[in-house]
Amino acid sequence: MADILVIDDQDRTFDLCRRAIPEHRYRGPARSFREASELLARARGRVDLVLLDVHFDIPAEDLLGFQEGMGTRQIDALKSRQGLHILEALRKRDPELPVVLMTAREELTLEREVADEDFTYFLDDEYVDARDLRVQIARIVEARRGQEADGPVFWGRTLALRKLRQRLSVLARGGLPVVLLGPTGTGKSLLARHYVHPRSGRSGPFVSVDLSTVPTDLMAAQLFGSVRGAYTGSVADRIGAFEAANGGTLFLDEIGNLTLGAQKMLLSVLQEGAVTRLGDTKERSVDVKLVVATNDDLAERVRDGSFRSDLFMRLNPAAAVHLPPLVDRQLELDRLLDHVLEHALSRPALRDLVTEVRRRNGLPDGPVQLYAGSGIPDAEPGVLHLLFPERSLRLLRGHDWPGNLREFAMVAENAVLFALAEVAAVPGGDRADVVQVRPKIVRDLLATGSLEASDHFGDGLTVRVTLEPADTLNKVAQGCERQYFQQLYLTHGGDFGVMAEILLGDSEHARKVQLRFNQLGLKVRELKERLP
Amino acid sequence: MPALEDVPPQLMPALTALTARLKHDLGKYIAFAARWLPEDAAADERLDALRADLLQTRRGPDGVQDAASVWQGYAAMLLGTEPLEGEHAVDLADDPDVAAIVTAMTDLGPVLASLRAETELTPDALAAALALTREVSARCRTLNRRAAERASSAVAAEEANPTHG
Repeated sequence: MADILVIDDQDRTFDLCRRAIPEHRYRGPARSFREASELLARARGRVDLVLLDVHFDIPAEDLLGFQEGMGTRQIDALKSRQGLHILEALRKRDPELPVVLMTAREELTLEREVADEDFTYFLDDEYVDARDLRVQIARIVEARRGQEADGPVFWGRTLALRKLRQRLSVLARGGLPVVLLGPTGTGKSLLARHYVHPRSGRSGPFVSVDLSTVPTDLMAAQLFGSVRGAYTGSVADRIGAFEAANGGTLFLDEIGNLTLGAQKMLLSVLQEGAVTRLGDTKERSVDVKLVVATNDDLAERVRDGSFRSDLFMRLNPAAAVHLPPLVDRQLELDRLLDHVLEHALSRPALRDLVTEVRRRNGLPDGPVQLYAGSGIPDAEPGVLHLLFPERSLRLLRGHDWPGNLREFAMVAENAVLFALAEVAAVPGGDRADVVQVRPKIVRDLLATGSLEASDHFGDGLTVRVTLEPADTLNKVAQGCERQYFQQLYLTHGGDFGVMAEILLGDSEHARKVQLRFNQLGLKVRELKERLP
Repeated sequence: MPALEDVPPQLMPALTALTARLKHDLGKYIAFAARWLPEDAAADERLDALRADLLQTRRGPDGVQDAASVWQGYAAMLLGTEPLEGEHAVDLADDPDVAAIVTAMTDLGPVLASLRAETELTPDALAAALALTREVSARCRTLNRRAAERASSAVAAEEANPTHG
């Protein structure tokens, strides 16, 4: 079943879809881009595809691209191509959302760039019929399902990440080492273990060594093995990671930590396909798929002499795979949040807390449903709603996630933990079936857990201000305050409620903040223009 | 001016735009629900589809229009009672596609009246009415395709033999 948004000025398409192709879920009909935008925001990334009409016969002021002073002809042209304007706006929002334009490709001969876009589909005939549409939808859903079967959601569903995995899949089958690059927490070891190894065609084990945790004097023994008496404390022969991984995959995390001595030995293993244990003279053949990962710039390390250039070249750096930081995966945050919370709620600690909340609030057993965005979910029998209000989501979206997926998962899980604990401790509220993850919980977690905590002071925002000398200290202070308020406004998208919560601990005091703005002579209209 | 091919080239852009709108507003929607019917649809399903297609053909800012009123606006310009552009009018009464649409819409008149009055349609009348809606739909499509072809060949001819400097 696919989740389909219908954008069409005629309700009949929506009604007919529901009747003639009932196997899918339909949202809408949205009769304008504004309505579509609202429905998409409410759906939070759950829309699988959009059915989009081209011609919209709606009031001029509802047309995307309408400007005061337009003549009848311009408005007619806008109506006849409104679907294309909407498509363009949808693409800015999500470049990979499948959109079926409900017309035939030939009808849009002038819009070649639209026709050639990925994720834009057409019907075989400009006159829509159920059979044609059903086939088209099934084809898209099938393709999308194929993409999703490609791995868990945290590996990413975007085209860039899918291409990255395709490349990795090819590299996994080859005999050369694979280099994974990317910041901490981006899932390098998960990819090595769950993606590269299963696709390497090897039946041997997966062995992982994090070189940042191995003492330098034991590194060589750990990797290549040792014989009794090879070094002080070596009381028995031991095999190293290479031998342990024979026939399988060896993942060396933080390869930049490898000592120069161990680098030389690793180079020898890669060249000879054999390992010699420390203190031994006997070579042992090893057949290992080597995967290495680092956040270091290895080329720079070669330049400064701390990494061997011959080893660097042996590691196949030209085929290195770069994993993007989470901050570049904004479009996927909602799906990631669903995934992380679903996983977290299956753990005993949170499950017990949910049971406790249900008991205290007098709720029967039932599912926990995540609800995000504005508004409060409708009550459903037995359902405990975990509500992420829009402001909490905004905080998550606005964070730069230096710890990437790892940090995101911890913040999301902790936010739910604290929200449940709050309700378990003080039951009540307007709705016993709603547990709200308040913005304050998220903000506290982001502030205290941030890897860049030094940039913050308490919960506040640290900004660089320029001191402007004046004839009184009060004026100097006001100058600083003005700059601080401006930054706060721009950082929080001009939301006085959020600013009030940060400054006064209560979003209800938005008016007070706005008054202070006026007192400081700040012009909201001017600042609005600077908002992204 | 017996057929579309006789329309002066300078009027073709306006005529092409008109037929494109006709194809969308009438051609697409006069057989919209009928096109979604399964092959083994029951008579009452067919009747519901016909009713929706003929009585609620288009929804616009001014409300819902039936097929006759959608056609009326276009007929005036295709049959020369209203100008197509500026003061120029075209009368395409003898064009095969326009004539077929006129005939089919005329034949659908009593059907519309029956549907409005909720009087019963015989199975044969229902089948004939559905065939007429398909005929209008197909003719609107052909008319627009011919107009577009004529407009582009007129442009090509103009480019090959510019008459004005």
